[in-house]
Amino acid sequence: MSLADRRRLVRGLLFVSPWLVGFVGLQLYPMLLSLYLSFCRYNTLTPPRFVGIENYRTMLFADEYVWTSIGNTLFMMLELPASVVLGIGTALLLNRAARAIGLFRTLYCLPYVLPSVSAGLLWLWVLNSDQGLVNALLGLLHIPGPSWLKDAQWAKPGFMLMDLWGIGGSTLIYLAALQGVPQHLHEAAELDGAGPWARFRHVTLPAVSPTVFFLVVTGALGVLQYFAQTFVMTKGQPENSTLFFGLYLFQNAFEYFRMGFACAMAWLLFLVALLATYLIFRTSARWVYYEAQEGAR
Amino acid sequence: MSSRVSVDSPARRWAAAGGVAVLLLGIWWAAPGRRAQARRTASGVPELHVWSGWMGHERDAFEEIVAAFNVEHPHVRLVNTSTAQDDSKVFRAIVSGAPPDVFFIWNSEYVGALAQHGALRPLDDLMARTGPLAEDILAGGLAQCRYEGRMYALPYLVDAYALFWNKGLFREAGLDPERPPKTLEELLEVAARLTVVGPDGGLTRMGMAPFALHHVCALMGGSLYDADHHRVTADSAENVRALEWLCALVERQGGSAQVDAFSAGFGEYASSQQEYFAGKVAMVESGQWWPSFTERFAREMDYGVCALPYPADRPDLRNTVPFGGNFACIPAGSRHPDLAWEFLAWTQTRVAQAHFARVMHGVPNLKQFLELPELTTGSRENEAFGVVCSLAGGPNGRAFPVTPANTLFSRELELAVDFATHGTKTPAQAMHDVTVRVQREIDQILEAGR
Repeated sequence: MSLADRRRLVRGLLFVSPWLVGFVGLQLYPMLLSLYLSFCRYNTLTPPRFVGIENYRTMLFADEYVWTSIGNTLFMMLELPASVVLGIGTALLLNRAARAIGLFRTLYCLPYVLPSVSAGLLWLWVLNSDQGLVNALLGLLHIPGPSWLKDAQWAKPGFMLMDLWGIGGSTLIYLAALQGVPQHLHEAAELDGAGPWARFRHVTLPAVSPTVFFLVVTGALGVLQYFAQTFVMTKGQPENSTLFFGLYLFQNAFEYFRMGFACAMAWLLFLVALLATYLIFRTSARWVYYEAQEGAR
Repeated sequence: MSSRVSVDSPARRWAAAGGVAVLLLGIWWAAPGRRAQARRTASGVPELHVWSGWMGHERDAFEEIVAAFNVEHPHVRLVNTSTAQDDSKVFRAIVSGAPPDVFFIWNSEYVGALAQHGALRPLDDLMARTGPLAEDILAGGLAQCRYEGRMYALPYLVDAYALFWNKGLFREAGLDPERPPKTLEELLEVAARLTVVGPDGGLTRMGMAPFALHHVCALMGGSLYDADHHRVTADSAENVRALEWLCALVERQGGSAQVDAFSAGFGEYASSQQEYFAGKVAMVESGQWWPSFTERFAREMDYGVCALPYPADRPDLRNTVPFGGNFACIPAGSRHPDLAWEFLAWTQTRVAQAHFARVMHGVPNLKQFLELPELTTGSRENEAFGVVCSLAGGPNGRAFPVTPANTLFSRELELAVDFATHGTKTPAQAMHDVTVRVQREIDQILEAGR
């Protein structure tokens, strides 16, 4: 490398140094440190002590709450297909040229702008079994509402209901994708005699499939990191039915002085997130349609 | 023609170097260690930093205490910083080497863990120098300060729990309003009689809301931990009986589904919508601050206060009082441990105890101050407060044991109640699971500390 090249390199590095310093200092270093700490017994008050794979062994074979939290978290994955169906359905409705459609679009997106902590506090009342809105509506239909957040059977469905209420963000992205579907494809299909369902199935859905793919990936990662709502609303109760992986990780790190164990949990979460993303990517070739790719074939 | 300036120009280099220097200077200025050393006022008087969790009017009350201390002690300046009830701020400060000189721990469950990991300075030598004597401190308060035979905290007022009952609701139910339940068995009967079911089959009133399991364990004479042998004893016969009693209390008032649904509508704790003040619950287990709350939120209520009930077959447990409280600790890295102790010793004086007790509605933690007339006479509120104070001075004061895993311990006990009252586990199984899980954790902590 010539002197001029080296100077250019140094200059380039200097230009990106704010990001570089931030990445190395605030992301890479903590990640590597947490990897090391995951092999240590570390209570945050005394120096870490290397214990090999003990934390991982305890996590996988000796701590039943880890598996409880994994089960609870995986259960919440059920909200992903529901959010896709509801998100696309709502976006289709909002994509129509109706009167005051702008107002409806705004109303549907409003819950999305609410921080999850505020939404959690609000839904503590919405799901209140005695005075809550949900049970009041069920009461109008003569359906006795459950004790949502105090009943181990209903607590997770309660959380799902709350999450589906906040799908405005996804709806907005689906709406943008729907508006990008080429009109000429719809017209061509219509000329070929395709009905509304066939047009949706064979034109709209393939065209928005990259958006579905994106939202499924980010949604799955969001579910794996589920934390703020349960921290605010139930703290894992009742009967550990809302003890999600993220919450249990937090409790270990900051309440039980088991930072080493929590780091091991964080790495398991990282690996699971990596695996989930990989699996979704692998299957995407079968159901995600890219126009540019198709044209290139 | 463009007038480009070379990036290598000396002016730019100097500007960049200056920028970096300012940044480094800023980091140095903000560094905790440097700030920690600069703890002197302009006149050279050392600053003593106390961190406390009180907020709102309670913080104002504590600031009055700080001001009073500063007036009496011109050779030191006490400065209060609020941790906003977040103890983890203290932990981070301890780890970073810049702890306060003294702090009040908001959640006393952490005392054992902090002591176990060497984060607290033992207070025995300081106490031996100036007092107070351990035997002067209420037993229930003292028990929460000791770990492995040493003092790691000092109480500044304690909380003592008693039974409060609404006499009007007793009359409505045809019960003698001057005769509260004396035994736990009797309490179940009275609670059932006070419970009212509405036309839709749901509860409209409960006799008594279930309360903390470890308090019931204390009433049953159960001990949760054998400190001498480091054994968790949550599954002892007394403690299982305590959980069985809590389940019975729920069952006698309609069962867990009914109680859950009804309690979901309870209002905010410190408000007139609180279930007891709103007349939705006839009896409540609460602390010495309750008379003050009653004056604020239900002034018209005709009420009584007495000791919590005891098991009929254990009259020796009469007047058992579960304790909580405010606890001050000196972190191991305190820069002024002697001055910190001077402040803590001062909190044990009559003036400091009486003043804080008056505004905070806490029980003085020293036996000799339990019957101060300015606290216990002159009004209905003071007299009710006095009843709790006199109960607190009895021999049956009990507190949650100090272990290195108390946050886990108390959460596990909450879970046990949850599982047992909903019928997912039997009380015996639930308490056994608590024992196994907490014992495993304590064993690991002690093993690591060896």
